[in-house]
Amino acid sequence: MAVIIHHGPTGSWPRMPDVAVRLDGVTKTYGKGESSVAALRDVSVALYRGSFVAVMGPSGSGKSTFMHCAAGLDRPTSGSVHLGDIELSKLREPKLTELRRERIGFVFQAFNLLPSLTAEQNVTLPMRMAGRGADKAWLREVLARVGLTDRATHRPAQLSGGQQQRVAIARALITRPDLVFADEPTGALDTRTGREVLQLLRQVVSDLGQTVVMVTHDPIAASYADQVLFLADGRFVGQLEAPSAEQIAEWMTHLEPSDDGSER
Amino acid sequence: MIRLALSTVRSRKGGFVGAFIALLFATVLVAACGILMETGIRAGIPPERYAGAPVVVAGDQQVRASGTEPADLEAAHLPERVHVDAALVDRIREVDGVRDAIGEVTFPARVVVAGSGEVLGGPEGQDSADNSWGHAWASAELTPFALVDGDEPRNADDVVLDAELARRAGLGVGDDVTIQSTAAARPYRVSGIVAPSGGDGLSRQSALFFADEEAGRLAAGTGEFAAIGVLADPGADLGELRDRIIDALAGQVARSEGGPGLDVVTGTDRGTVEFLDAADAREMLIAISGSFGGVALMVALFVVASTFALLVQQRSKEIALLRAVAATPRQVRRMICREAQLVAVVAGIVGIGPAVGLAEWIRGQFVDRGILPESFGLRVGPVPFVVAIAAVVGTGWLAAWTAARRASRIVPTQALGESAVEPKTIGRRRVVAGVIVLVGGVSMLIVSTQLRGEAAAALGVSVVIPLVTAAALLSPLIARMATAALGVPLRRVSQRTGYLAVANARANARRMGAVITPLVLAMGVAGVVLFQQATLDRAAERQAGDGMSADRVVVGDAGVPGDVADTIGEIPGVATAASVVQTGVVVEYSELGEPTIQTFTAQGVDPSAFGTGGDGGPAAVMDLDVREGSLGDLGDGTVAVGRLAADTVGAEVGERLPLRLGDGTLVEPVVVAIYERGLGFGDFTFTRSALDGHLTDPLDDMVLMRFDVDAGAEAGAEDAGAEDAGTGEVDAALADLPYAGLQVLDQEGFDAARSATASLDAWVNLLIGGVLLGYIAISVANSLVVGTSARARELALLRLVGTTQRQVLRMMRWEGLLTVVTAVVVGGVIAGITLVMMSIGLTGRPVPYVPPLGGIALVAAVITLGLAAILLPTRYVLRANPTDTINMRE
Repeated sequence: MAVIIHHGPTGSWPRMPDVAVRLDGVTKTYGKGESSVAALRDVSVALYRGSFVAVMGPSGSGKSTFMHCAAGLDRPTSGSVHLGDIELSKLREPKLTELRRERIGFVFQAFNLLPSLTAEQNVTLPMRMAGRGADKAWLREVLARVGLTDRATHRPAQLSGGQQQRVAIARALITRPDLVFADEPTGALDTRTGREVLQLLRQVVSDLGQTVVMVTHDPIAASYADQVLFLADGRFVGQLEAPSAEQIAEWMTHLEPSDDGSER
Repeated sequence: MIRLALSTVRSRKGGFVGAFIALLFATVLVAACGILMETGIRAGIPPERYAGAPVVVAGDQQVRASGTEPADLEAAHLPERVHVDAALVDRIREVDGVRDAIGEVTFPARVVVAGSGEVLGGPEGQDSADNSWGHAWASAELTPFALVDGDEPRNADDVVLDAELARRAGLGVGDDVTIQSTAAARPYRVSGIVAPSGGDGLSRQSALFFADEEAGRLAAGTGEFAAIGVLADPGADLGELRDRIIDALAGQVARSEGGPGLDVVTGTDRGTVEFLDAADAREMLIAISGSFGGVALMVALFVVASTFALLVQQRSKEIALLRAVAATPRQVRRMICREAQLVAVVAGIVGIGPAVGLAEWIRGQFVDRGILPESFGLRVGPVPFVVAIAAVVGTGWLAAWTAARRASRIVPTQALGESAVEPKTIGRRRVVAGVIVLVGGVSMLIVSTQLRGEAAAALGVSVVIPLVTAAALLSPLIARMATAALGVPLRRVSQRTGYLAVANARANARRMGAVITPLVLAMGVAGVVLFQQATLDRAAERQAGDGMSADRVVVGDAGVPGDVADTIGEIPGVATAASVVQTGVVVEYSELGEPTIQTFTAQGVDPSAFGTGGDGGPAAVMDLDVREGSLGDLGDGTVAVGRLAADTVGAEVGERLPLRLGDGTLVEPVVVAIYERGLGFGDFTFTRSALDGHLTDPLDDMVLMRFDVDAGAEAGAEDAGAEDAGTGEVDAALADLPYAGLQVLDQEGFDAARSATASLDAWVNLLIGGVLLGYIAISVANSLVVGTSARARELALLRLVGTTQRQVLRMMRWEGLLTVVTAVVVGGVIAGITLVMMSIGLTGRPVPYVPPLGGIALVAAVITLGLAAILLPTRYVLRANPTDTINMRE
């Protein structure tokens, strides 16, 4: 089992070295008083290393908030987030940034790349910001893996949407992170290009043993994952192991969009 | 980091052009001011008269406040020549290496053209109209002038002319010539013609030589010299010689108790000693370039900061991405600062050439107006450029730093969402900072009412800056208030596009604030620069107009000889003929606890000007509007003081006030009266005779005359036209005075002449102010263009949802109008408050003067500039296909 969804009292986790990220009783509310909106309600979950997990849910179910909290982009209102041994919710922003660039890779839906840098420069950006030189052999391998060896010196404007997403994946891999988060990585792509990107992510997990968490609302995209977690109204409401796209779509139709949540 | 900054700058050329332009023009302005300042500090005019004397000993024209170092810039420049004790000549002669030391007397002397009665000024040139000087023959060697024809002047009625003057006057050896000097014009005989080596005459002055005794008489000799020229033994080292002379004069070179000390100069410095006007010009250059350079930097800081703020706003997604995947807040800050530095360095280097051009142009303008002597060349050294580039890079860094602070607060999750709505709240810190700066600015304003004269005038523009800064910090609040106030009527007037404009303004208070700020700056600075001088001039003009009651004013091309007043006084039908001379005094006082030394304007007036016993009766020609004491007590050892000056230096009636006369002589007169009209006539009033021997030029500036009303009335009893006949006779007598080059003006003519000289100051301010305003206009347009272009996507979206091109334009017009009107009001209030406060300091009355046309023109200019800078780029943006624009990558 690669995913544990824990509904019991917090603080009772065994120490598990093979857990990549762990959320304990995480609640995230936006706003204050009467107008406050709970995007996540007491979520506890642990994701194992080397797994490809898709997080699904209707709009407003809290998928993005889940990812922001799990990736140290945002701080939970209560509860704790552990990346390996490190408690993220206690870290200050510069430390969080360092942690993100060393141990977490990101692939966003669009606008993944700095337009002023070449593909290769974009890939090595985290290393440069950390003040480290890129591991040349690894860079070559990563570029080869995403099939961009001959496009390394192109700027984003000269690349197609799919190529840009592959550059983003290369960048996410360059630091050999504990975890790669992909936020609707195929959302801005056509079906065929999207499939190539998903296959690439799948390979990253299978060949390199990388952990990938993907937030999506597309059942086909989710079907590439080992597990699918379903979120509704700020809570995990179910999971599927190695599902087919049809199974997922079936599940999704049962999930009512929440009334009070707006897309976060 | 530098590579990242470099590639960002390279690929985002468009955005950085705005910052580059702002920094480039800042460099040009600051470096040009720097060149003018260096010129003021170092440039000199080569000596002419003293060219043959390698070392010149003259009075030190600088006075410093006690307890300040000689290097301190806090010094006052004495307006009249400091004379040198004649006894020093012998002491200097004894110094080793001195071949001879020759004392020099200088006095105005002009050839009167036979027949026309015109007087000849100096040689043809920009700045020599007044320069025709008489000297003693003994000092001809200082140039050196050598005889080319005839003989040296031996008798009292002999004169020697330089060859250029002789040619202009058509005179040769043996001819008779009338010369107007310090007394009535009198005949001389040309005994010889001289010429300097390599020419017929000097370029800035004509020279006339008299027999030594006659020269002494004409100079109204006080036994003192204007300067002592030192001729060196062949082969003597000038530096060492100068040191030995300083040693020999020990105790007098440093400032002494009775007056300023001596200056022993060599090289070009001799020109400064020779031409006192050069020192004035230098001082003016230093003052002007200093204050305007500073303001230019502050403006640059503003404009660049707002440009970078816009850039950061445009790039917020990119920055969010950087924050998400790699960069700490600190790294983002550093990156933006590096970018700014990169742009600033390039702008600084590119700006060097234009800066020299601008400085040269300003110099040319000054020379054309006779403010700078023609021979006053620019000194272009590396220092102004180094300073300007350093200042601009620093400014760019500071500006970027403020923008970067905001950038580093961009949260990384912004990289994921589409949201481009700005946060609703305005940071509490920003409001607090705004209020603090506002309070600081207002208290600076209040303090500034304690300052007088030059100090107050110099402060003017710099006081505007804190107020504009406060407005910038509070600009979202201002925008919100303005939208609330103007939004209701606007929505009623225009229900579709006006509604959109108000909605935009309301939702984007911060953005609207950013657009308001540069316009507020333009309005505020322009208002103060343009109308500060107008306020001062108007007040002075009023006072002079109200206080002057002379029927005729006699002025002269080169001044009015001292006995003219007596001669006029003896004409039947003249009640009063009072001589007036304008000069300055230097007073040391404590200003805000600091020892300060400042030059004030002063006049020497024959006491008859104030009527019998200073009663201001029918014979009076000048009414100073005495508030305390009485001008009837004005005599030797006393002084009357204008109220503003009295408040500044702490003068009180009945007390002694230590001060230095124009030539540095320390006196301690008793204050007998305090009067209101100091601006119109002068801050200090002495009797004319109290200033004898303390003036460079012993001539009077004017004689104020009043008809004898009683005599006219008696005559009128017999014949109604007799009064006119009486004044007609006086006028005829005035025209027949035995002096050349005099003009008789009535009050109107005098007012016109007076405002012509006053407007020169105004012009200098306008010129430099105009350059500064041009810079601000460019910067404002620049930031508005950047701001508007950044809205391309928003406008494209409007088009796509069914808004016509015309409607978008109209919406932008409403929005622009809302913005511009708000800016004009806020800027106007800032300028108004500043002008009121300055008016209190400068004129004692809280009513500034804004010429109606000037005011309207300024408001119109700001509105036009603002609207054009918003609407032109809007048009350009609308020309593109909206679907292309909306899909445009950020």
